[in-house]
Amino acid sequence: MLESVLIANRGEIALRIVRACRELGVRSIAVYSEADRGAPHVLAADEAHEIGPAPSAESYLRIDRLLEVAACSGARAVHPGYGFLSERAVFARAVRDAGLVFIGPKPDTIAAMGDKVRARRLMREAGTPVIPGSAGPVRDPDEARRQAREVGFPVLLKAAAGGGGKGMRVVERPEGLERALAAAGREAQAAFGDPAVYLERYLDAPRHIEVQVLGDEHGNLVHLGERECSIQRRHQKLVEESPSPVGTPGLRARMGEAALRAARAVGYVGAGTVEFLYLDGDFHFLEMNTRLQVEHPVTELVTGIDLVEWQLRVAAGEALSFSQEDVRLDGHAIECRITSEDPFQGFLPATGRVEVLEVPAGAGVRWDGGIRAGFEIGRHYDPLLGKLVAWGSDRESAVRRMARALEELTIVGIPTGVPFHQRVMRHAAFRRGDLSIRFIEDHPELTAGDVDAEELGVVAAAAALFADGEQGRHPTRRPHADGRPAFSAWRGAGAKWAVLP
Amino acid sequence: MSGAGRPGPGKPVRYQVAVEGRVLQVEVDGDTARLEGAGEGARLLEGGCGRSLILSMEDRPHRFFGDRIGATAWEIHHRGRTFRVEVADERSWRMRRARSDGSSPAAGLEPLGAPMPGLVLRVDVEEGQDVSEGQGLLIVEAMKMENELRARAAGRVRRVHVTAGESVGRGDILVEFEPGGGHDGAGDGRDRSPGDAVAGTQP
Repeated sequence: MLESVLIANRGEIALRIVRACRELGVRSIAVYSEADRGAPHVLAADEAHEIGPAPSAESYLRIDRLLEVAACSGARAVHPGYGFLSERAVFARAVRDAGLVFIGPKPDTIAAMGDKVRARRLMREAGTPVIPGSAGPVRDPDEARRQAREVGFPVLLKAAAGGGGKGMRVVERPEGLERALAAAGREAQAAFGDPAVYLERYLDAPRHIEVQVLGDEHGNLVHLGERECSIQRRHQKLVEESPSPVGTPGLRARMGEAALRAARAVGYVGAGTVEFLYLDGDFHFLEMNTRLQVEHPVTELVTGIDLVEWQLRVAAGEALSFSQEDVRLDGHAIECRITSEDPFQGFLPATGRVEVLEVPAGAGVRWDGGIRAGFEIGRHYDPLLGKLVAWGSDRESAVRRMARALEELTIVGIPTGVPFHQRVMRHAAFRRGDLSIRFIEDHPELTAGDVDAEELGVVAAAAALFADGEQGRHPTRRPHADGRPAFSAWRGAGAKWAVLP
Repeated sequence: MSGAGRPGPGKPVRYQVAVEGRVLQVEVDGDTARLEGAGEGARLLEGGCGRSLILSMEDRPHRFFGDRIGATAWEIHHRGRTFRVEVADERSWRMRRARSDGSSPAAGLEPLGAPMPGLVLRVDVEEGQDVSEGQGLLIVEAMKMENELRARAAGRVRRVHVTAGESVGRGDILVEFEPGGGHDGAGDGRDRSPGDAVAGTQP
């Protein structure tokens, strides 16, 4: 096993990797920006090093600083997590050149799949179906118009270097093309340092289904079944599950084979994901993510395979201890991404302090979080606070368990998507497994800000009691005897709660 | 559940509570809050002089977190959701109501504040320009996403306070409006809530 791993990331995924390292007896080395000095991933690691100011360009994206820390801490390997530098071939190469192990595929694999235009060509050659679209990047509005006419509106503009919905725009009509092209290019430049954008046909209401693959350096390559991640906003996933509600053994075998063909075409080593759009029994290659996915826990819960552990084992040169026939999906798992966004205001990102955090527990529930009470959520990073994952023996029990766990999750101080997820779990179409990537647009009641009268009543009653308590009208509800004001911004967080009879 | 340790009934106090565009009357008597028009009141099980409290309403416990954010403004957290609430006792509510007549701007023409901290990428309107409802005004980048801010109502741009490349904080005023382009902003006869009266006290 590797002696030590530098984790070039932050938030919940950095903590997830620290945990795997701890369990395997690997020394974990965290890095952090000025804004993350008290972050959970920092506190959990064996050692932690500050690498720069809050903006990621000056900290988490600084390859030179990361390599400096690796050298002075004696790290043997680097885990990039997801986002940040995880899909930059230049980073993987720099890590290798420094004599360290990069925990991920070969730099050439990252480069091949990272260039979405090249990846599409490779997949066509490998016999994996792709969505009709431009053969290369679109350079100007005239070219975009010509190509859009060829594939037909609506079209989707995507960052060639991209992923995660950044630099992506749906264009319904020719008039909107020029403006969308400029915006997508700017976002692509900001997110990936490369403004190149390509274009493909926008499929109407497909499902997003992806296949997890895992390979070692000895030529073993398996797939670990599918995940459905159709519930998205701004092309970012919010709810993921495994297996897919449409995931029959037959479809799983076909998609699994297509994913393995794609992975083999680039000599894949480590954990990766081949994403497809699925519509009426057909599926098309979308892209391959050459890294760990945010939603990897649902696969872990149904396969019993610890993906981060296997990333570390594979990076240490070990061979997979199981073959395709050994991989079985047991039960059903669902993940809700808990973000600091207000679902009732178009998922507007919010900043603020986490005042109270109480996470669910009990059978079949997992919380992968990157926050703690007292932690400040700034504007510099992704709004993902944590992931709530529930397992059940079948889909229905997993949904019920998730609904229960969401009731127990308490995050006070910033708006979160928790009420949205509660509505999703109760929604009839979701319960039926009737999903598409347009799920949120098709069901506006999920994000409508209405509140029922009963709820308003108890909130009003509580507000009146809070205000009344502040007046100190009752002897038992006076401000604290030690002179602190009774309502000094949340002091005494989580002190003691009554056990209700 | 006997509410042990709570004082006996004193003089009840009536509160006006504005939440989600509705105004509700609540009478607080000792450790019980009674909603006008509702039967059984909500009984305080714990808290009331701190940041959290637990109520029992029709034998169902509810837990709340409260944070005072202005003279009469509160943020009340309940079941994953945070409500912005205005609470005033009856007397101050009447006084404010008397003072506020005709002083607040027409609906939708309130100044546009930054909904989150971020970077202004582009400003699409200029002073004196007429805008229609839903028209894009400017683009603010936050958390790596571009967010287009749109006009809530038709009107004319009176002032633009920011330029592209500028960093803004939450609540910073970005654009101010006035009635324009044939839009009639006067004669707004809607019922005032305590929220209108104290608009502008938010942090």
